[in-house]
Amino acid sequence: MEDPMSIGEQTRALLGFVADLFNSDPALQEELKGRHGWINLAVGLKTADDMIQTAIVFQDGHVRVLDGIPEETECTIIYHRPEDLMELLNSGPEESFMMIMKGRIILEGNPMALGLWDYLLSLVAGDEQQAAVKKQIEEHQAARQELAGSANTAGRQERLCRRENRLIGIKDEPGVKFLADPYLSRYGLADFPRLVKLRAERLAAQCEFTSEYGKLITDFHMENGYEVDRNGKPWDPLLRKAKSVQYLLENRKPLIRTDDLIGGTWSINPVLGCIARPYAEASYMWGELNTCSRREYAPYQITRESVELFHKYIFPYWRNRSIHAFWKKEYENALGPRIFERFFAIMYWATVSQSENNPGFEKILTLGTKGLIGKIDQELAKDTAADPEKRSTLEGMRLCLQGMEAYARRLSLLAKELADAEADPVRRQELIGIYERIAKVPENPAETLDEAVQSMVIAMLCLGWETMDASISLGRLDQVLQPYFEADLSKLADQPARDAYIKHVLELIGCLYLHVSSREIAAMDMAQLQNSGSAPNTCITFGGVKPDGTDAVNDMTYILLKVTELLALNHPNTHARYKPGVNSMTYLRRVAEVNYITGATPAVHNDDAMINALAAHPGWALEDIRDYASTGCVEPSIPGKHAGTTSALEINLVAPLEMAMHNGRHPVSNWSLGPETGRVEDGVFVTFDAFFDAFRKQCVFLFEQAVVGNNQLGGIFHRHHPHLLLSTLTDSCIETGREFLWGGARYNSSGVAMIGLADVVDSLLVIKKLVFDEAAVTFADLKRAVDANFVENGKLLAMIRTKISRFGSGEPESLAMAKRVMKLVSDFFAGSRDYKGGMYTTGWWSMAHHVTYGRVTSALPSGRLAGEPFTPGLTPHPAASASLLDNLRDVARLDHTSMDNNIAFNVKLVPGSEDTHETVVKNIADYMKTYFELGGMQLQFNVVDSDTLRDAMANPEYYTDLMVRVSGYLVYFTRIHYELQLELVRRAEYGL
Amino acid sequence: MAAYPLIVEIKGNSLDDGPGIRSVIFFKGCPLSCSWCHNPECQSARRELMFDPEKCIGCGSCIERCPRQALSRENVFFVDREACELCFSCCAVCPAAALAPVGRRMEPGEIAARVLKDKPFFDNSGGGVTLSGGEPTMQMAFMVELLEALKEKGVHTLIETCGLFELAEFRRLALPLIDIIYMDLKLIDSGLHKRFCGADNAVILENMVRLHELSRSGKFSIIPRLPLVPGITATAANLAAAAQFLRRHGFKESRLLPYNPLWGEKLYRIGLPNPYAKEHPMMHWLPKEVLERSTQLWKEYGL
Repeated sequence: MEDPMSIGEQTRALLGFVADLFNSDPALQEELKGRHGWINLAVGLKTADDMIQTAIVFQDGHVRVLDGIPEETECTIIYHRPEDLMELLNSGPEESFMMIMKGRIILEGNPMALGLWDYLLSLVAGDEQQAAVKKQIEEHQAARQELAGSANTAGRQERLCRRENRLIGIKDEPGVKFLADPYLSRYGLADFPRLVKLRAERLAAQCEFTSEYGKLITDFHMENGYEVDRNGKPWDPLLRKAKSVQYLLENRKPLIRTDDLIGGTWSINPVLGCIARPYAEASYMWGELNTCSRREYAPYQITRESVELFHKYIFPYWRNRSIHAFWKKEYENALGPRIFERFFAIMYWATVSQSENNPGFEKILTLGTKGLIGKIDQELAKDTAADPEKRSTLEGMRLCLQGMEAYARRLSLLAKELADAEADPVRRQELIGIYERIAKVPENPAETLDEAVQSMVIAMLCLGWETMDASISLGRLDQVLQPYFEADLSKLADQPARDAYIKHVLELIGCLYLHVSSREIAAMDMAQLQNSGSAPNTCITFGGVKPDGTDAVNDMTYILLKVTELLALNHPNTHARYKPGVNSMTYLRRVAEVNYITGATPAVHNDDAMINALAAHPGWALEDIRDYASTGCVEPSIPGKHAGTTSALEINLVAPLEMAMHNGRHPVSNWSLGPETGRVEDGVFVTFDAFFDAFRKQCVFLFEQAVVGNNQLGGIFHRHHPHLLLSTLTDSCIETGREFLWGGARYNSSGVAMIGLADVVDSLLVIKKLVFDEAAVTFADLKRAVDANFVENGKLLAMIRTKISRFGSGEPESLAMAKRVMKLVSDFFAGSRDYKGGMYTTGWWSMAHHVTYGRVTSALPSGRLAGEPFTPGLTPHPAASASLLDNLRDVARLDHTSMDNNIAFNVKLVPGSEDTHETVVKNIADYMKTYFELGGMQLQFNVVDSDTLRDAMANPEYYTDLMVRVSGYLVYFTRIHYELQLELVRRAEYGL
Repeated sequence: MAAYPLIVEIKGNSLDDGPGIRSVIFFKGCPLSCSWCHNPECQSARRELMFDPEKCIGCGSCIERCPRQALSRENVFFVDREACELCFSCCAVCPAAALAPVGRRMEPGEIAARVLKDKPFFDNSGGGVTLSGGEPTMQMAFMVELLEALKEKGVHTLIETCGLFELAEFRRLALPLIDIIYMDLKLIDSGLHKRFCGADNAVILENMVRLHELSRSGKFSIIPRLPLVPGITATAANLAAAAQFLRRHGFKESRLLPYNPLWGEKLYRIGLPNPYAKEHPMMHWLPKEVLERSTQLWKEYGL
């Protein structure tokens, strides 16, 4: 142990060095000059035992180091041992994240101030930090090369062949009116040079971290105030948000991407950009402004001007106005933020977003903004006794719609200018078309498919700019667009004209997909550990049944499937609904074929199971439930009627199990946060049920924290960022005069995703069977072995792995245990209320958390060793059974009502080298059909073998568009985190 | 109970043993002893002990338990097959299931219950149950009982056979319960057949022809399958002779099965030395050109 004095001196010396640099270097001095005045900051550094306390204070351009930590300190870094602090200062981003998760470093105070500290540090320690990143990259590269070894490289060629052999479909549904071959097999991507070009640009693009949004929103509030308005009067929060949205939409730069058929862009980078909201997701980016262009995963391009704008103008304004800062300020000492900031147990997505939703796009298509404003005015006129909240809400809605109109007006003018300047007559004609359409929509109802798509895109862009969510889902797009498709086609008499039109529709929808694909969410480096490679997850849903229960498959269903196949993009995230007994085998086979060709999409959902689950919600009407569409990863929501915030909370279910085994303490993060439910070593658990009850208590403790924190955040959102534009497209916000986040929607709920089900169930089975049923080992001995990561306990580990049936094995007892755990969880959430007055729904998908949580979890009774990933979503462990059918049957038999936020069930399929295209497609379809008929809720495929994945890790240049599903979401395999790649390689694979 | 034969494995979710999704039941015991047998553990109808070194964690529990001191790390095969009396007490103490009996006696009802769990998958895919081995017809009475249990539930049945069985009995008892027969056609030359497969092929060829004639009733089908074993069956002479045989008897459908060398590891597990060195062609996958050449020849004969 080092002398504490010398540690204190080391810390002070280090800070003194930083201070000297800032005091003496004019370039660094410049960095302290913000547009609003000096950028000041006080950061404390201390040991957990308070023995050492130091601070560095930046004040009006002077920097000094203090003994002790002054009152005004905004953030403090707490470390256990001196080497932790030194390691933190020298480590790459991933290592420092791991240090936080493991409780070696605790960060307290305003997270944006910490970001500022990181930014300032990056100015003086940039080279060292970059060296750490470089080392991290090199280590991963070397590991990839080694892993690839002599992997079979046949996958490089085989992937391309899949696209060339296409099946022909037969017209099999009453809803399919115009497509003679619904599979549209005659078309390949090469038939659409425009899409080839736009897609290639997108795949080659590096996302731009743009500052336009941040600048405009800051301009608005600099001018109009935040807490009080220009006249010093406290702002009405509803109108404050509405006016800021209107300002953003009026002033953002209208753009039309070269060769695009649809006007408007998400950001100033038409190919790929994120808009970076400084109070939400981008509030975590201050510290990374200088480094994000060189990070290992998903590096951003960012201009020097943007860095300066963010550092000197935007972030200083929002420093105490981020959602996260409000949360900590308004709920001082609450447990929620502390759990959130240590990352090992609960991800509160409401810190940055109210997650994904399906707006009612039909409203904008059929009424236009004009019609919607008419409805609002009517309601205001009708309800003369409306309370002030209703008045503000409705007035705010109108302002937002007017903002949308203003954006469209400027966009149409731009189209006109571009058309006038265009030399190429063909492109000129296209631009005139865009001009004419935007001159009409979204203000007026759409009458053609081109108008409908243009109207939707403008609405989607504006909604995204309002809701801080880049993942507005497009609902049941086949149902929404079919009427326009039919109307257009019925005007064309001859077949050549119809064929040309259908080809045009494929191209148009392709452009729509690329619009969706041009958006990213600004994500800090460590988001790579939670959702590596994830796009914002705009979902498109097709198929299934109509609200009256009849077959919904139509021409547009097959058009969407074709575009999904042609473009093979990871965004939009596509979802096929399937209703056993109603939807045809022709349709299901096509869904199977597109999965085979793209390798990973669409995910497939069983209407019977999903409708069953949602029908258990009191007061939800069957015809609305039948209209469900996916959003986010896989979650159901009712388009235009439902405030679902479906991925509000992602919770580590293994944490309460570990806490139950450690009397309330979480071992790796070294934090005794849960109730004391008894020490295993003391023999307090005399029956399995007694232990299960301890597990239940830890669950309830953690889940309560999740709900309380989410409800706090929901209130903050409502008060600072109400979703008024979204409210105009959601029943019954206009009538009730309550916005989307405050109970205005017809249906309300918040969604939870649980991570690590199979690991928990398998562990409980081991405890039950070996300790209590068979008395083969004492609980204390089992715990000792687990605590020691089974070192010296090889026999016990082998016994666990070979003799205990897991979830997914087909054994009734294992299935019963899974149901018992799921019921415990879903009963709690169904009985909880959210801030909108809705219930909580329970889902079983995991983003990439199953890898990251796994890294901070010790060994488990299931035989999973310390640090290994959990199984993804609700997928059984690979060793559960050699037969995929056992997995499928077990998952199909789970209770639908305990998974009303859906599941992610991953199946990795490998076509045999002898199999024909037709055989592979038939096999996939047969699996799906049977699994769904047995009651399975959801299924998602990765049709790729481990050899191909290993080859892709080492030779990414051959696999730039290789897609895989992680747990719900879609990624390009070569761009995701190394550990996540490994997890995908190790998943069980089943031959076709 | 002892009357029931040994079942080595019930493999669910097979896509390579007949149409659709199938469960495959592997019988233990075969009248032939083909030198390339892919399931050597299924050859003998007797009980055997299997040792899998990859599963072994080296805990030594089995060595302590063995009453005959038949287990030793000094022995490359670990199990002294002479000394072992097949009491299987080592299997009971092995925590890793590295030591295990080959197969288990199972009643037809138990087997049927196991495979019927997957019936919805059979039905939707046009699949069913495949009897394989080993040679299922060696256990004729048992096989018939099992087929009856399956047919009672409307399961599609397929049998993979070497073709060496007593036809009259087969025809009377089993054939009405079988939808497809996959019958091996290995070597046409009877001398070579005797040499490489341990028995004459006259009965096999006769059975194949007779069953093919009977299949014209449309109640079942028979598909001859020729395993392409390098240097043994995949010779120009044998392939030509086999093709002529099939042509002569009017077979329309037949299959060529590419050779794989995976059985080499299985030999060790039941205590048999591998006769082939690592470099030997028998220890490698069938070369692509041999498969292509054979397929070409098959085509030339219109098969």
